[in-house]
Amino acid sequence: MEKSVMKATTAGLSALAMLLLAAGGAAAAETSAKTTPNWTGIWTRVGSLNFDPTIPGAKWDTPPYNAEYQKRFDDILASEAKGLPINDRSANCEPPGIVRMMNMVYPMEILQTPGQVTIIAEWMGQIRRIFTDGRPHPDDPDPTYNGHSIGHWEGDKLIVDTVGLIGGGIIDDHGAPLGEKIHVMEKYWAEDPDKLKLEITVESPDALTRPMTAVKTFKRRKDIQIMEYACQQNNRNPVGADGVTGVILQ
Amino acid sequence: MRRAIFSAAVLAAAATAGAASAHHSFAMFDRSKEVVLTGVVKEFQWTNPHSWVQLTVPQPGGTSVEWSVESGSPSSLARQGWKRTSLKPGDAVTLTINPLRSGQPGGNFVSVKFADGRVLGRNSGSAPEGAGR
Repeated sequence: MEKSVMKATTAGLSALAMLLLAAGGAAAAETSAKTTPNWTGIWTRVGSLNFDPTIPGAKWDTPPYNAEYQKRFDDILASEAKGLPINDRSANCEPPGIVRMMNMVYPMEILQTPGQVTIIAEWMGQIRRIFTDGRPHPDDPDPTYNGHSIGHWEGDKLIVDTVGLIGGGIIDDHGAPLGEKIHVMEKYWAEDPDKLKLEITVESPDALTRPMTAVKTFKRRKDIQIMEYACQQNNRNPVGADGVTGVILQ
Repeated sequence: MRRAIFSAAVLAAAATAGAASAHHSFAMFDRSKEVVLTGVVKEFQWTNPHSWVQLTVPQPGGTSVEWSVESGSPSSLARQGWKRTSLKPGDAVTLTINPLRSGQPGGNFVSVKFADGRVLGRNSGSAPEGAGR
C-alpha cells in the first residue's frame, strides 16, 4: 500500500516536473521570440559597391592574395584599364555568388519566418535561405551559387555559416577573383531598428593568405519596393569568346 | 620600367573604376569623355538588366546613324523619377553620353535634354540609396 502511494507520488511528481519543464520551455521560447529582432523589410546598402563599403567606388579592395591570385587580379585590372573588362561572369546574367551579392548593388528584402531567415536581392532576384531551425550543413553539399546557410541567434545577433559554394566568382565589381574553395561567416546585428550591420568574413585558402573581413551597413527603406530584375530579358552586354564583356549594338 | 607601366595602368583603371558596377563592368565606356548627340528617339527599351535608348542621329548628306545608349535598370531609374514613357519614339532630344572606347556608335547614358528644355539625368557611381545603375 505504502509502496503504491509512493509510486503514485513519484508519477505525480514526474508529471508535475514535465509540466514545469514544458512551461519553462514555452517561457524560454517566448523570451526568444521577444528578444529576436524583426528585420523583415527592405534594406539598401550604405557606402560603395566594394567588399569593404568604406573604400570609395573609385578605388578597390586589396584582398590578401597569394602570388598566383595577385597576378590574376593585376591582369584583370590592367585589362579593365584598357577598356576590356574580363572576369565579369555576371555580365552573362550568371549569379555572382553570395560574396558579391552581399555588396548589394540594388536593395534586398529580408523575410523572417519560423526556422528561416530569407534574403531576397533585387539584383537578379537572388534568394538566400538561412536555416535557423537547428539543422546542420549536409555532409557533402552540392556546390551552388548561394551555398548552404545555417544560422542561430546569439542574443540579438544572427550568426550565419555558409558552405557548399561554387568556386570562382568575384569579390567586388572590379573583378577581384575568389578561389575555388570558399567559406563565408556572417554576423548580423541592428545598431538601431533601421540600421543593420553585417560583419562578413570570407575564407578562400587557395587564393587568400588570410580571411578577409568587412563590416557593411544597411539602411531600412520604407519608401521603396523591390522591382523585378529578370537579367535575361534584354542583356546586351554578354561576355564574348575572348572573355571580354561586350556591347550589342542595334 | 615595369613598375612605371603598372602604375600607368592603375591610374587609368582608377579613372574608369567609377564606371564599373551593376551586372557588368562599364570599362568599355570612356568616362573621361562626353559626346553630345542630337537626334530622334527610335526606341526606348525599358528592360532589365539595363534600359537602352536607340537614337537616330542625322548626318550631313541626308543619311543617319543609329546610336545605342545604355542606361540603368528600370528599378534604379524608377527610383530617380523615370518611367517607361519618359522617352517616346519620335521625341527630338539631345543626349549626353560617355562614348564606347571602340569608336562604335554606342555609349553610356549621362543625361537627356528635351525640346522644351527639360533635363533628365541619372545618378552615376554608387548611389548610397542603393539605386544601382
